[in-house]
Amino acid sequence: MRVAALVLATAALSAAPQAGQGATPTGFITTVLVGLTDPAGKVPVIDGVPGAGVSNWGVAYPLGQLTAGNFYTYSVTMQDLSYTGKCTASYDITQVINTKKTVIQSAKIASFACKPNTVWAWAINAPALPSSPGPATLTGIATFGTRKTVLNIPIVLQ
Amino acid sequence: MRIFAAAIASVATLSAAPGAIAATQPGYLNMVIASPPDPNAKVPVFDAIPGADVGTLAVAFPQAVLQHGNVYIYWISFHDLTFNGTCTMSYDITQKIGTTTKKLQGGTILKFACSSPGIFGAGIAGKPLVNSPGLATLTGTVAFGSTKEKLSTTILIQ
Repeated sequence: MRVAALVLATAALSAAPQAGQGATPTGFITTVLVGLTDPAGKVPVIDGVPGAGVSNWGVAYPLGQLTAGNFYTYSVTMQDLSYTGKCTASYDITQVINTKKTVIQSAKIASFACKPNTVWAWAINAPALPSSPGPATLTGIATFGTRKTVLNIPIVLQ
Repeated sequence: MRIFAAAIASVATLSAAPGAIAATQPGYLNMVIASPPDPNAKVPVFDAIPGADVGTLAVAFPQAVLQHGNVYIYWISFHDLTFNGTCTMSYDITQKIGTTTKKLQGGTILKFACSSPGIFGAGIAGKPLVNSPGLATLTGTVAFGSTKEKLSTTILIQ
């Protein structure tokens, strides 16, 4: 299952670099989340809250502890400020095992054509989580062409 | 200021399995976002997506590009694994100007009694964002008693 969102920004966004701040990124990752896969398939969802007056993103409870054998859904949200072209969203879970960084689970969630002044949300249902108990890092990766933005969140696997 | 808060005291997947590993920290922040306020006050909200078969969280779309003068909701969520006691949730926006890091905005969102295991989230409407264009850092902090956990994300103020 994949979910995609495109919401045009309500305010004009400027991509001009700011004095003293260096080059402005063309886009940003805003969240990477993991929650239980919904058996009913209702979440993740865009604008799933009845009566809300803003565009909204609904997910299963975001978790910091994951259990081997369970099925989880991973989501990435991102905002495109000024880039036109190919964007991707992906995630991985890594652990340091015997001083070596090891990928426990990962996937490219989406590859798509993005454009300025938009926000996007993508999600994917993952296979059962492998058993690898211990501290880990959930990383969300959003690319805007060759530029990559990353968000790392500590989690624990059991 | 309006405070949005919710707490879920029991999540099925959090029960400690035999041989479960000990978490390395009392809880895990998984989300710090800025998003526009909902004029209908429906989001952020827990468990408001009809038909979902898991606990849910819905938030206004997270924004990384923030307009000065606008008011945003700053929302944090975290997964309390082992801590029982006073939790304090706060946020701040900082900006590096030259060699100095300046705090632009911030404050306590909520101070309350945490009980583990649980998933908690709260948000607050900030003041109108100051005119300080450029890249900045949005940081969420949860103090589990005297132990602080932080999560940061890059934003752009325009």
